[in-house]
Amino acid sequence: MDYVVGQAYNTPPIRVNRFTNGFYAYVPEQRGNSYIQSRGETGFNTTYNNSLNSTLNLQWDLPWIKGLSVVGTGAYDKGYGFRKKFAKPYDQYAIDSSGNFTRIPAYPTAPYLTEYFSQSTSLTLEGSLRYSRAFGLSHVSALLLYTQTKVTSDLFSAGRQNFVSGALPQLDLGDPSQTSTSGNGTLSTRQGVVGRVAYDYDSRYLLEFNFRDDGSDIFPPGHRFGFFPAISGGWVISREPFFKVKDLDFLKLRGSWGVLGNDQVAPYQFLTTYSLVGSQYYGGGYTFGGANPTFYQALQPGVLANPSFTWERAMMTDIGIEAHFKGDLITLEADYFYKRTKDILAPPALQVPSVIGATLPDFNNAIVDNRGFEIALGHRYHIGKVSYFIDGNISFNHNRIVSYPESPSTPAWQKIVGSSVGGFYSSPYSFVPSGPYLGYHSQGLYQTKQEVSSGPTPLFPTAAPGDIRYADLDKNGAITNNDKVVIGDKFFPAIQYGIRLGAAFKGIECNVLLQGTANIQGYNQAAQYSLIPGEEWMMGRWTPQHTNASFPRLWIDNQENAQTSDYWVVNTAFLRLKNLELAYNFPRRLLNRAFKNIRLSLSGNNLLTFTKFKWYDPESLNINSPTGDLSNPLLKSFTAGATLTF
Amino acid sequence: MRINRLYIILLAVTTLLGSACQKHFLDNAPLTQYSDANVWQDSALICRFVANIYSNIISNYDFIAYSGMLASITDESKLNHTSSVYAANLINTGQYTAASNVFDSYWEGTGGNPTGVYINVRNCNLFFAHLNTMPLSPATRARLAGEVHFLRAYNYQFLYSLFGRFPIIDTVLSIGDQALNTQRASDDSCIAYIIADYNAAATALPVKYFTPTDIGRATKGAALAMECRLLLNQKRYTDAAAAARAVMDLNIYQLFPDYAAQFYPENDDNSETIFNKEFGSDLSGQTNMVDLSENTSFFTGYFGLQDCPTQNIVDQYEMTDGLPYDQSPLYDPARPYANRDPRFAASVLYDSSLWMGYTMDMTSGSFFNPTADATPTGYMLRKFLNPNNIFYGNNTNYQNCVIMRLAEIYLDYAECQLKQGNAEEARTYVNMLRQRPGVNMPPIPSGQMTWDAYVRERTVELAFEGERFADIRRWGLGQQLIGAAIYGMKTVNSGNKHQYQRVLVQQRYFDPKMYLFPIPIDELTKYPAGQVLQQNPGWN
Repeated sequence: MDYVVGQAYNTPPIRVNRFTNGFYAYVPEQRGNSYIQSRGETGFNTTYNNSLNSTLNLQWDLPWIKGLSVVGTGAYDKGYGFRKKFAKPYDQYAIDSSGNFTRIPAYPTAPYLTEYFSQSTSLTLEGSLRYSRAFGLSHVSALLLYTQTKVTSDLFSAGRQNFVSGALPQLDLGDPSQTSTSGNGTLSTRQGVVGRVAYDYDSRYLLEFNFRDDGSDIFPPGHRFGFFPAISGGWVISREPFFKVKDLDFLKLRGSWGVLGNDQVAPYQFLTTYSLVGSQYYGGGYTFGGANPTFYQALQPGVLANPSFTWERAMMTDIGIEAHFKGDLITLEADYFYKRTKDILAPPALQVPSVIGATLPDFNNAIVDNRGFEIALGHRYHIGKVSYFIDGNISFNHNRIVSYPESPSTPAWQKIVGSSVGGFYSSPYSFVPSGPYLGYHSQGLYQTKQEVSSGPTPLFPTAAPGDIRYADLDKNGAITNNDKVVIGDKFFPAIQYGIRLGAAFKGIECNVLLQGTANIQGYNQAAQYSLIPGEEWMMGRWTPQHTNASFPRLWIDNQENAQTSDYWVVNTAFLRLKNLELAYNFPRRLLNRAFKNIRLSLSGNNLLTFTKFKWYDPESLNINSPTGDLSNPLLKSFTAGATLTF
Repeated sequence: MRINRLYIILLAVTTLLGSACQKHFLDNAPLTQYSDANVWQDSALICRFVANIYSNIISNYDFIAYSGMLASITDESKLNHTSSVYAANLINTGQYTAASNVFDSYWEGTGGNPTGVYINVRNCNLFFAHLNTMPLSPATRARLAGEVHFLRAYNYQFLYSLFGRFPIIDTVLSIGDQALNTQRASDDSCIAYIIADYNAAATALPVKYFTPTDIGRATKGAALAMECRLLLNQKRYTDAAAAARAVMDLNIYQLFPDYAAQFYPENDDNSETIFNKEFGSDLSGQTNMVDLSENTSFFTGYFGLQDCPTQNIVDQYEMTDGLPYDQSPLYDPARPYANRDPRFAASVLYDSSLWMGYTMDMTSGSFFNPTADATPTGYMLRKFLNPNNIFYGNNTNYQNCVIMRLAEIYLDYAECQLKQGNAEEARTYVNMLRQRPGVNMPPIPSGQMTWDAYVRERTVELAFEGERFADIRRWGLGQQLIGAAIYGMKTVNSGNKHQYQRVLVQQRYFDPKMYLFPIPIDELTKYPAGQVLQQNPGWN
């Protein structure tokens, strides 16, 4: 889907899709013709998935001890998948200036077929002892559970090329001298013990303690198990006999502390492994033999082995208060939280020189703190026949990287410790290590040649008036890599909020949902690299006649303005009318016996967005993608519906 | 009833306990990867370990997919694509720093193709660490060791040719080793180390392989020839001449009788090839991107047309009377491509040349030169392309990439002789190239073996093969040939004939610091303060 939208963005509107004589055109940006492909005239790619999910639960209430039971559970899941992919060539043409058509060779030149078969099995077994009993006003419950899971999968594929005819897609009909096959399997296992004890007295004092001891095959022997305890308690003050505040129906204080684990990294990094590579699609391997080649698969060493690493741990503390005033006239829920994620698994890519010549494994080596508070307030009331409600919530987040294996020789302003995780650049390229999100600090645009020559030496000899002026932070007289700073600190959303409100009058309802973020920035890569062609903002560019410009001088092949810098950092705070709904419930007297209720509704999603960032969806510039997502534009939608209740 | 229920419960609990008692439930190993224990005691896997190092040799054809051929940072060609993703575009305009990712992956390694030199070097060092315990016959052990010496030397030579001196790593390193912070060795140490590896290889390797399935492995001649190239670039003329002489005295190489066809897939590992990077057949998937990348989209139906020869290099091809075009009476501006050195038509596609059954039309907007994908210079690359290529499927091309051939040894020898005052000796070898069957250019007469004539001969004989950047650096001609004004030929329809106009295509930029590429900045920042590697002069 992304591909089609991306190609649509890239194809200038002057391209022809189909000529008047019916020929389809070769569109260079689509490397073919996407329209024919979307009509299914070029083959098919169909997947069949079958799955069986089964669970068996056995519970036996032990007769000898009241409240004690034994439970056994087995869950067996099995899946089969079959995929058939058949591609056929199609005719596409180009036209020259005299109006002559020429057929462009299409890809592929002869039909080919590939079939894939996969199966997966998952078996989970659990056995537990459970206890639950009330003694007067006290209630006690306990659990001790053992669980284990084993997941296996197999897959293989076969293909043939150079079919004589595109009419019948079966492997036997392909060229037997042009076959390809592949296949592999996976296995993963987990084990764990879970326990819980809970006590409450009169629903007034609540206490719960639980723990997990989880083992994962991803970690090396001796480091496989992680112990994760948690404890929480609550005090419902409003149920105390001495509590006599008028109209405060419910008041509760609660607190919790717990540890959770994460093991989602590549498995087997504690083993020295070698992979045999060499396949038709992925390349690799080598041939000796000159003009009569013999193919040898290549044996590639895997990741460097790390014999000791273990679970990532997130330790979370929460203190909260809940209050209801006069029923649901006013409800309040407020929480303060503090979360420290430590032993974060990441390769020490910034500290190990590449002369080691191997891929680095994950180590437990980073700590991130997240603290803040959340408030949710609600109000429900009615004035005469009109009832309404307002619910609002807001959360404030302060995020900070406490420890990270930083580069040992960068200047202090390029360190990521002290920044939020927004300042951490997760690199999509294997030749750029993940690390601080660095960029130059900009100081407007150069206005005159004199400014260019009298300031610090710019990056490139092509710098000219109208280009971005970068700051020489280390004062060495030239713009160098040491002048970059961490620019992403504010990419992390510090404030997020939402408001739901609605009113109802005699069967007419109106509901509104608003949500927004504040105090957040993003990186406008679309402007920097002109990813959206022909935008009007380019009219605000710098020219010698228009020097008070919001955009540098237009350029082709000028690297001066293509550098990552805070010139392109933008405020992406927004408030969005996420949903607006109008509905009408038919009054009772109009309904006949058959219906309990008929409700007609009209709603719209993403109707309005208030933001300073007008280029594309500001919500897409978020902590997971500071540069945003151009290939999935925000959809505004309208729905009309009817609900009939019988 | 009670008994039955009891049995069911007992069964469930027993099954549960039974499976829980698997002590090694979490002890898994990958189902598709071998372990150390599997590999180093298995001669077939060891052979494939060495094959892996061969497959990661970086050759001229590997540059095509990554950054454009090295030819495009010299006056030989201009990149058609304008994106700054291609290093050649940044280099041509001088717009790159240590942070620009120009050839970074050759130092740092991507794990893919092309991989970093140090990944290959580690694999060589890993091989040597296990060498003594391998279950191989002494002869095979010595030969494989020779091959790995060659591969390590090749990789270090490649790194040196781009970045200059480097940290010499000759053991297998782990995280935390002090040796990780090894500084860049001196030029002399680097050269001496590489030469020692080549000499070890030359001693251990055979002159020729008789088993057909071993053809393509490194040979004695290959080690000596690569050593010759290294010494020549160091301007050690005596030593380079001796190495070239040693190669020629093996008496197993001969010039191939067809200049163009020597690069076709059916002529892989021919009599002139001293060493090449092997690319296999279609099904192996181990292929190059030459035909796909360099042919115009009219043939590929896909992208294409990457490195376009310049008018600058076209001008270097002499007329059939042995004179340069601007001195020869044979030159006709209305038919500028007639009566040229046959190596021109074998290397460059020009207006009216015949290719894959079509007559190429270089006017702007023609089928072969559509405006969306036009050549900026009026020429397209022909050398290395397979005229019988069939474009389909993964677009597999499997002509080997010639890394070293006899013609270069002759030229290297001739340069050494010229620099030592033996012009006549140089002339003998230059004329051997001119007298290749199918080329038949008039021999250089006695007494006329000038330096310019030699430079011209080397330029046209080795055009686009990837050595010109090193040649320009050795000759100190960076401003003229890297920072050059690049010209093309515009073909215009006039009546029913074509007219040709010279046009300026690009004014390139050069600064002496550009003879060496900067060590990537995010590599330097991996070193502890006080032990950061020294950057190349002029770069920051």
